[in-house]
Amino acid sequence: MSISTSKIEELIGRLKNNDKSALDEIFTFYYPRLYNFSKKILKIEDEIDDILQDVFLKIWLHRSKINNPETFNPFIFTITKNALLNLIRSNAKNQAFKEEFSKRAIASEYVTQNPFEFEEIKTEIDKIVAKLPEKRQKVFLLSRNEGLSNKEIAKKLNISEKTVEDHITHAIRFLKKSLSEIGILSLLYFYLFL
Amino acid sequence: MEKLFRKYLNGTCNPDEFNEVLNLLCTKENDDKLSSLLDKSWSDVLLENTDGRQNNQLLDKIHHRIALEESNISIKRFTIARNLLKIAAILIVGLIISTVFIYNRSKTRIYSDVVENIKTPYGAKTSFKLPDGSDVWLNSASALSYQKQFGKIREVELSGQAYFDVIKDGKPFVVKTRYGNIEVSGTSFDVKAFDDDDFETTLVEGIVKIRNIKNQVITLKPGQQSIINPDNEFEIKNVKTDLFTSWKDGKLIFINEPFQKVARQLEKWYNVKIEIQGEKLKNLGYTGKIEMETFSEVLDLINVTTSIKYKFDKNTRILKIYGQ
Repeated sequence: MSISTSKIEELIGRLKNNDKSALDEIFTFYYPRLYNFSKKILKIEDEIDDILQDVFLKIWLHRSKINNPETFNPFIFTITKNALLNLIRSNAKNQAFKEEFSKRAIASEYVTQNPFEFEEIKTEIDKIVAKLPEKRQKVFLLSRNEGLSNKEIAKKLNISEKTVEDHITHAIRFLKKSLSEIGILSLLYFYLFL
Repeated sequence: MEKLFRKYLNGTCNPDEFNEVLNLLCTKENDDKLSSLLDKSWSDVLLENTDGRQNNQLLDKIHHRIALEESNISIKRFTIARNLLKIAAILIVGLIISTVFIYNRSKTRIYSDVVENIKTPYGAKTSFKLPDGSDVWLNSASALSYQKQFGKIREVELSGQAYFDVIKDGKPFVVKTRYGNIEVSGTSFDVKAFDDDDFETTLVEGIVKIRNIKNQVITLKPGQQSIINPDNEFEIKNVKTDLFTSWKDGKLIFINEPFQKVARQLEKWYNVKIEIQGEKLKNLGYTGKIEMETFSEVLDLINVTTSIKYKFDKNTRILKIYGQ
């Protein structure tokens, strides 16, 4: 579902007439989308609502400057993007933030209790991936090496998105199991984050 | 860079790649490139189906903040108002805004240790939930701070006046003030701890313990009020509790209250300064109920129920009251 230019035009007109219910409608449409967008970038969900609160406040406060319905989407995108980047930039030196951020951003097979084992884990992971059945291996490599989304992989291989998800879940489970067998991942950890 | 960024958005980076992305994100020179990469993701999100997630609480907060922003604008206009009529009109706006509960949240972020500071300006009040689900009403010109995640003790720090409706959850709940601490488990009570007034605790339900700064402890029963005077001495009396808690429902009730004390409450309630001329008038007992009235209506009300005259200076926002 998308929002039509004429609808945006109507909403902008009502905003300019100080109609707060127009902001409610904008919120209803944009909030879930901005949330998903922010989650992709920030990963830490606790922070998202505070950022979006500012975004909607700004839309209201700058309503007199919004004129062109064509620039409304880019306008919302720009203030949200800037707020997200600012938050990441101002906290990047903060160890606690960095840990939270990386824990959520890094592929789950790498999330171990010891961050210094990376090279070792990578070598082991490559070895284990090579043992995966052909189709599963292909799906997993498209995800991890090419950075394709599940949707893109499904399209490329002409299979369903659900099948892609299943392949990846099973691949991760197999990886974690193998890693715990060779002692890289503790068994407890393996069960906790399965 | 596109591939790396795609991985980041899909959550499939390895630790090295993530560090690289973090560097890219933190480099200002990359802003244009980042914008175009993120813009693609934004276009995708716009086309995707959403789960229709909504958050009415957040929408309420946004409206509160809009009300706050706009009340600041009306205070600026205040100074150029030409006559009492205009001032009255703005006060009405101010009052409407204050009744929709103004939010003024400022956050101090220290990661593992996030502290919430909630402040209300003169002429506004607010209500909100604490992390444990307990309700707080914060009166005008007051401030409450607490950790976003409570530890073994649910601890809040208050200056000014607040009404607490505390949920029982096994952990003690402590209100810290400059006059001493109040310890409860699950109760409803009102605390007044302004710098320029007595320290009052009024208990509506349950049991509270009050510890003054000399570490002396008393226990209150429902319907009782404790006052700690400037010498840190306790006084306990039985009171009609709604006289002291009605403010949270937008009402001020006074029964034979010295006019000086009434004026102090009105100052905070309406964001004005009140000067009372004459000792006799200061101690005049005032009885009446103020409920959602505008400031000029309150003046009229006082005018009718007492024999006073007043002058209002629009620039200093000082109201002078004379006896007749």
